Order: sequence, then C-alpha cells, then structure tokens
Amino acid sequence: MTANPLVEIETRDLRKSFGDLTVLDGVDFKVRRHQVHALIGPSGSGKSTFLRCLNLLEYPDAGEIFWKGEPVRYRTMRPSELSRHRTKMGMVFQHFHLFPHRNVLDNVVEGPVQVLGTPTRKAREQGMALLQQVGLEDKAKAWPAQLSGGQKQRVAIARALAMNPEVLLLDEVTSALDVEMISGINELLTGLAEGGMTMVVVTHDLAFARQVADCICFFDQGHIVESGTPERVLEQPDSTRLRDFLSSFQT
Amino acid sequence: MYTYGRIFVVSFFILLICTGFAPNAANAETLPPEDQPSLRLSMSGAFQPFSTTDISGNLVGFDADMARELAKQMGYAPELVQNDWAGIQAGLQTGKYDLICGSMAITPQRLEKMLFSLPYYVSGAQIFARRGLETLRGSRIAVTEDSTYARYIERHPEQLPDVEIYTFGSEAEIVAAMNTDKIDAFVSDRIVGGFYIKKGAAGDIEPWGDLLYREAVGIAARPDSAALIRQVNQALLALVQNGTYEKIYRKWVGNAPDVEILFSAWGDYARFIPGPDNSNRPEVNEQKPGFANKLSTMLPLLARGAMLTLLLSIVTAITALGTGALIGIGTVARHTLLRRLSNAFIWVVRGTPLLVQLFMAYFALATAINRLLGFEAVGAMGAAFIALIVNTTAYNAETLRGGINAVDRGQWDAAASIGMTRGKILRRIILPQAFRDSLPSLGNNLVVLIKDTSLVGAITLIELTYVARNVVFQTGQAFLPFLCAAGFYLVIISLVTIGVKSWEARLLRSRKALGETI
Repeated sequence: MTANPLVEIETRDLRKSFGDLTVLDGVDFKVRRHQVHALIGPSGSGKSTFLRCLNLLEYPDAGEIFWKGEPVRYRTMRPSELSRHRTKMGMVFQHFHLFPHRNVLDNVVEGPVQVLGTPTRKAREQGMALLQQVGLEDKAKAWPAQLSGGQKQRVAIARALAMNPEVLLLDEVTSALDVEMISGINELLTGLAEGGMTMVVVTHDLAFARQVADCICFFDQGHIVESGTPERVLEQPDSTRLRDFLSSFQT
Repeated sequence: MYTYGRIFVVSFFILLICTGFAPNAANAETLPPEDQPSLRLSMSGAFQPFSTTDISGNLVGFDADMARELAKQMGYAPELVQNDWAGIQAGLQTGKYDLICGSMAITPQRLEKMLFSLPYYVSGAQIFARRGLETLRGSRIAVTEDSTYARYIERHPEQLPDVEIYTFGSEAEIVAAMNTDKIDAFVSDRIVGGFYIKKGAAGDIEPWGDLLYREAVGIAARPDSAALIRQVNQALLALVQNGTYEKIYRKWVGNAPDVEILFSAWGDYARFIPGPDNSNRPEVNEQKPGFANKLSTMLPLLARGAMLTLLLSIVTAITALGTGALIGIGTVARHTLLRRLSNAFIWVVRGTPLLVQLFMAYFALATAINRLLGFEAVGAMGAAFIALIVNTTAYNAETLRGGINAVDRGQWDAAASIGMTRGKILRRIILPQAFRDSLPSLGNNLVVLIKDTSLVGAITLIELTYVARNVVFQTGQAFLPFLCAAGFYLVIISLVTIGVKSWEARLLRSRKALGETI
C-alpha cells in the first residue's frame, strides 16, 4: 500500500477477546493527523480496549495495525521496539495512575530521563515548562497524594506530553473528576487540539466531543457502528442503537 | 568384697521389710489391672540401648523394660514418658511424671535436688574416638548437654587439654555429628559406646584410653517422694532376685550383669536411702548467694550470648533482604522456569520447620560441602547462617511477592505507556512501592528471625537462649536467667522495631499530608 501521509495509525479487522467475551469484533479505523477522534458508546462496547490496543497495552488476537503505513508486527516485537512504539503515543488514564512515590516534577521527567535518555537538567527544564502549561508550576515539589483529582489529571497530561508524542490517547480522562474540575481539563485539551495535537478520546461527555472532535465514532458490541462529523453522528444518527444510546443522555 | 556385698544386700532387704513402708509387691500383683493407679516414668528415648523409640514410637530399651517391670512390681500400671534429656529434671520437678528411669547417674549435685533409688546399673564414662585417631589434642569432642560427662569435662579440663568441646542436646545428635565428621570423639557411657561399636551406629569408633570414672545409675524422684523411692528399692531388689533384672540386662547390654559390682554400689549409696518422713535427706545447701551477685555473674554470660544472637540476626536480616527481593521478583518473572523455581523455593522452605532446616544445613549440607572440599569450610556457624538466611529469604520473598501483586495494575499501564521496559518498570515504579508497602511485614519477619535464632543452640552455637538454659542447669535457678534472657530479646527487638518504624516513616513521606489510601 502507499502510505497516506495524513494517517498516523490505521487498524484493520482488529479482534480481541477476553476468554469467551468478544470485546473487539473486527475494528477498522484511521487516526488522521491533527484531528481529534472521539470514541463514544455504551460501557463494555470495546472503545477503551481499542485504545489500549493502539499502544499495545493490550495485544490484539488478530488484525493489523499500521503506524504511518508501516505494519506494526506486535507478535514478534522486541521489548525495545515495543518501547519505541509506545513512546510515539502518550496516554492519559481515567484514574491518573501517577507514581505515588515520586513528586510531581519527577513524575513528569521519569519518561524523558529513563526512556528517551534526556539529560536530567534538560528534562527538568522541559518538565517545568509543561507544568506551567498545565497550570501547576507551583506544585512541582508536591506529592501526588497532596493534589486534587483535577490537578492529578493535569500532571498525568504533562507526563504524557513530556514524551513529545505524535498522538495523544485519552481514556475517559474526566470521568473520575468532580464536576468543577472537568471544564478546566476540557479547556486544556481543547487548547492542545487547537495547537494541532492528534488525539483519540474515549469519552462519555458528548458536549465536549461535539465541541472538540473532528470525527466521532460510535462503538457498540465490538464494532464501529457509525462514524462521521459530530453534527452528522449526533444529530442524524442512522442506526437505532446510536439513537437509543443518544436518547439515554437526554433527561 | 563379693561376700560383703551379699551380706549387705540381705541385711538391707531385711531392714527394708522391717520398716514396713511401701506396699508389699505380692499384694500389688493381685490387684486387678483396671484398678491399678498408673506410675509415670520418664526417659530421653535418645540413649541406646537404654532408651530409644521403636518404629511405632514406643519407648524400648533397658530403661524402658526396667521401668515397666518396676512399675508392675510396685503394683502400678506403667506409663512411659519421653522427655528430652535437657529438660528431664524440670519435667520431674513440675510433676509431668513421677520418676526418671532414664540412666541418670547419681551425683552429689543431683542428690541436692532429687531423691535417688539404689543404683540399677553401674557403668562409667568413656571417651570413644574415631578409629586411628592418634591424639586427642586439637580434636573436637562432643558431650550431651547437662550430662555428668559435661560436668566432668568442665571440672577436669586437665584430662582433655587442647580440645574443642561441642555440646549437643542428646546422644542422637552426637551420633549424627560423628557420622558427618563434625566431631572426632565423644564422651558417653561405656555400655552405650559399646552398643554403638557393635551396631556400627556412630561410624568406625573405638574406646580411647581408660574409663574416666565409674558411675552408678539410679531412678530419680522429687524430694517429697521418699515413700515412692522406698517402693522402687523393694521392687528393684525383687527383680534382681527373681531373675528379671538379668534377663533384661542380657537382652539389651548383651552380657550378664556384674551383680557384685551392683551390690557394692548399693552399699556405697545406701546412706542416701530416704527414711520415713524424709529423714536421712542429704544436707541441702540452703544458703543462696545474693541477687546482685547472681545477676552480676549471669549478665556477662548472657550478654555474650546476646552478641551472637545479634550477629546472627543482623547478618541474616541484611542478606535475606537482598536474596528475598531476588526470589520475590523471581515469582513475577516472565521466564516461566524462573517463576516456578522461585515459587517452589518459597513453598518448600515455608513448609518445613526451621529446626529441621538447621539440622539439614549442619548435618547434611555442611558435611557434604566439607567432604567435597576436603576441609571444614562450613562449621556450625556457617550452617546456622545458611539455614537462617534460606528461611528468612523465603518469608521475605513471599512478603514482597504479596507487595508486588498489591501494587495497582494501573502503575504498570502508566509506566508502560511512557515506553518503560518491564525491567525498568519493576525497578523504578513497582518495587519501590511494593517495598514501601511491605516494610511493616518485612519488619515483622525480622522480629520473627531474631526470636528464631534461639534454635541454633541445637547445633552447638552458644546464643542467648542456650546460655540462659545453661545457667538454669548450673544454678537450678529457673526464673532469673530466663527473665534476663527475655529482657535482652525485648531490648534487641525494640531497637530493631524503632529502626524499622523510622525507615517506614521516611519511605511513607510521599503519603503524608492528605493521607493517600491504597
């Protein structure tokens, strides 16, 4: 195939089961450069697993993954290749997963120093700049336990950005936050999107998806049932399943 | 001499009958068995051919047969109680049994604390050495803890110059030590040694030199059991007269008993027969040294024992922290064989008692290593370190395994997502957290270790508990030495606990303030 320079990641017929439970039942998907892709769908529809397959936190059972048109041979990858693949994508989790035994700045510089081999001093300078960007430069020496949920998520975003990723994978990053924290994080992400960051966002926040996404994909039972622009998907759903899903948000 | 003995015996017998104490043996035998009260007699069960246990666990041997026949003769149902030699006197004094029928030599020190029957056999102390040993100088000689042999060697160091004395808890370990090159010679009963030679039980040994001394062996009772002892004497006499004694003696020792020597020994010990109302009790030295004086002699000894306890604990604790971490990581290794080996190690070591591990390290492993190398590379101390380190390693590994598994899976995800490899994730993210969370349990393992060092006395190492026991044997004062030992342990463990707590506090600083809950 000829590589489309605008496609960062492509999956073809991606399949994944946990025992008897089929979670991904043949997913074809393209992540386009500088675009924000929102994955929506009911719980258990496979969107989080799909996200984790992209950076190989989970290994697919079958199917192909391409990075910039190059096949990712995940079955035969050496640890160093796996590491390199993962560093191209930053990931932020619902429950932050900060390293509790490291202070805020050390959480951010761990990746650059340990994986990229950035000199500590330089990594710290960059880390401070990132903390400034997420509005936490005064918390550099604080422990994760001393932060609010929103602050923890900002640190987690800074930690992901510190690796200078080409794609950002966001897994329900505001679901565990108190309501008053959510808008701040959403603003931060919107800013990143406007700066041209390629993102894949798993979210239940349809308003945020509509606002920031270029493309929305509706997952159900391991398939992408519908995808398209936010207006198309959210306002003119084709399938009953999407209509049912959307109606469950209108109270 | 012989005639004198016979005359003495007969007159003695008449004397006993005349005093009219103790039930008549003939009467006792007519009692129906179910009405018979039982008489509890103790022996070590580790002193062939006098007492040992058969395959089904019954006590057998000369002492066992004598105990049964004596009890029957006295009109009691015999109940034989196995008790380690080291604690056999304490068992008597605390009423665990009524008599010690366990080859206990009659000595002035023991007569101060117990009553003795007339001797039921006469033997002597003999050195037995590996065949062909040219000189005892520089050799390793074993004795049983709290035996007359141990006392003798203590009091007559001139008899055995330039030797290294090893003290074991029982003859069983001495035989094992002889078979595994731990010692070159040992002091034991001449009959016992003769039995070993006949059976080849202790390797190729031979008597060395003359008898060290002759000793008469009696049946011991509590000081208030004068009537019982008089019954025993009567029963003993009856067994000698009706031939039962000779039969038992021939069965276990192999030749006929020298009754003349036995009788002359009866003459020697007749003055210790308690009269009615405990008259004729030997003078007991009631004068007790002052508390301070006792404590001042005791403390330096105990302190030296505590130093060994401390040394064993510190070296083991530090080493086992590292090895425990390695095995603990092994249990989560990606390599299947490594994981299985680590789990198997933990399973085996945690599933076997430390005392068994100590004996295996000392008698089996150390001996194998020494034979391979051709010199004594691993002694008792080395074996103790091996067993303690292996044991503590398994517990630390299991603790750490639990700690590793308790770290949130999200930590793996987060670290992997920034491209860290498995080794780095373990080293930099998982282990520090697992270690921090395991520290209280690791500290607990350390406390258990310190207390477990009290077992190494079993392989001749003179640590704190061993010293305390020894002081108890020497002074007969049970309370103070153990109280002091307990105090030493408490101090050591308190210091360690404080140390662990402060380390814990430092590692937990990342949780301070808002009190993160995991």
